Amino acid sequence: MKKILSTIVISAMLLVASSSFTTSSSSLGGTEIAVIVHKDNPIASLSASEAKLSYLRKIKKRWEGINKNIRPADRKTKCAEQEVFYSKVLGMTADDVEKYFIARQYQNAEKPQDKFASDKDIIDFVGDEGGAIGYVNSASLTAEAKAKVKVVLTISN
Amino acid sequence: MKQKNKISKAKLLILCLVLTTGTVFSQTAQISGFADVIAVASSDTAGGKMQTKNNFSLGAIDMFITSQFDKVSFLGEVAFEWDEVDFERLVINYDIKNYFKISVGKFYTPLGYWNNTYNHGTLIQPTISRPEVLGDFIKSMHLKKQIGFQFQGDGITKYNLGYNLAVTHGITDIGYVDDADEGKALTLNLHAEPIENLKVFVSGLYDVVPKGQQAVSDSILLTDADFQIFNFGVAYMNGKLPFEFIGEYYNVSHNMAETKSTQGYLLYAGYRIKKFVPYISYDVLLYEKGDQYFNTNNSNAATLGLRYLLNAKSVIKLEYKYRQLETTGVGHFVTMQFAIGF
Repeated sequence: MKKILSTIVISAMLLVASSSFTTSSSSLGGTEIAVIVHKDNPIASLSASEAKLSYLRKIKKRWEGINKNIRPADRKTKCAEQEVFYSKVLGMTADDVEKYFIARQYQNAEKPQDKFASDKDIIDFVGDEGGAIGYVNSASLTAEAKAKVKVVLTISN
Repeated sequence: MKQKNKISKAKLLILCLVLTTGTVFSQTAQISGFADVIAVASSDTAGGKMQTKNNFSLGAIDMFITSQFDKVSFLGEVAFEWDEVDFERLVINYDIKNYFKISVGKFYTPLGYWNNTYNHGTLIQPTISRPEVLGDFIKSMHLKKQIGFQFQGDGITKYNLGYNLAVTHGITDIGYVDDADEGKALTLNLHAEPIENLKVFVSGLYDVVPKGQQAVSDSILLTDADFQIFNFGVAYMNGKLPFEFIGEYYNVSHNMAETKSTQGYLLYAGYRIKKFVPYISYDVLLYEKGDQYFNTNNSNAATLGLRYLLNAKSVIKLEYKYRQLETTGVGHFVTMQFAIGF
């Protein structure tokens, strides 16, 4: 009986510990991200739901006005910016996003999202590629970066 | 034998084409694929005797190359199965506008939802096996995939209306480089997504199988036979809500000797609980008595399953399936599948 009780107590402690760990790991400390497109893209601003549809190439596959392929840019590894973008803009988990792009590639021959190691790489890609859309930490948008890309949405955690 | 050699040469030709095109587009080409391994325990009345089996089996290694260069995109797909290599698809798309794209090559016949969405994609398919109506039945008419061209478009109006209009080789088997008849099949699929991930669709195909062709039942057609396929359905998959479902109805009618129609439908429903999705499905295939074109064998199958998403690229499915075939009776199957993407 004692053994069972102690097992239950230890299990409960582990559960509490794991849930508090989850809470602290998903606490992003007020990260603000900016959704960016190429500076020549005529889009002035996007709502979160429009940004989602564009990024996922759900309804439109090409930007109107410039008729260029929408090219989503993503981070290679999990980071605070990605977590905010996935949860606040896409409303999807990392696994859902990955699976979504795999399915689109298989079904429609669509190129999956391009992945980059840093905000700087995403800014360079969006600055070079007319149809690109990406997200970066707002703090990464220096004056030099702002000359290459246009902010169409900002989201705070 | 001569026919086999012809097909082998054709496959070789297409393989070269896939590789060549892949090389041409190599700057942006990506190779991906799916693979799966299955364990099954079954109790089935095959050949009039109840047989109990349990075995491991290989699914397929499905590899596809995709490439996109501005308005042109390419997909080449090859499936390596235990006894053969199949050229599943070879599609070149020219994406002119959001609402207008031209595709040429070998592509999924744009009928319904399931046939256009899963096929060898065992990682993304919600169940282990295809429903009866989309299994051997549709395969017997060579309608999983077709060779030809299609116009398609999406994102029209706020209801996200879309269309596919395909002109393809049709119901007769053409191998890869030859067509058994001059006539072509016409397929139209109209769909809408009024709410994100909720898809409603209606589709149909018309084709004429010329006299002299061999039916699925091995009979020879004495006159031309008109084939009409009608399909409609609704699907809600991968949405924000935890539930998911697919419902599709098919009616295949032809006038070989006399007008006969085959009906089939599939129902699938699942409920997502974190990484688990318990699901049920039910599908039916009903032939009309006296149908001379098909090997009639009415069937219905009910499945109870559990899907566990290990991560974005691997999934484990466990299913119990009850299947009743008119000819052989009842079968019980417990199947486990480990499917991955790479």
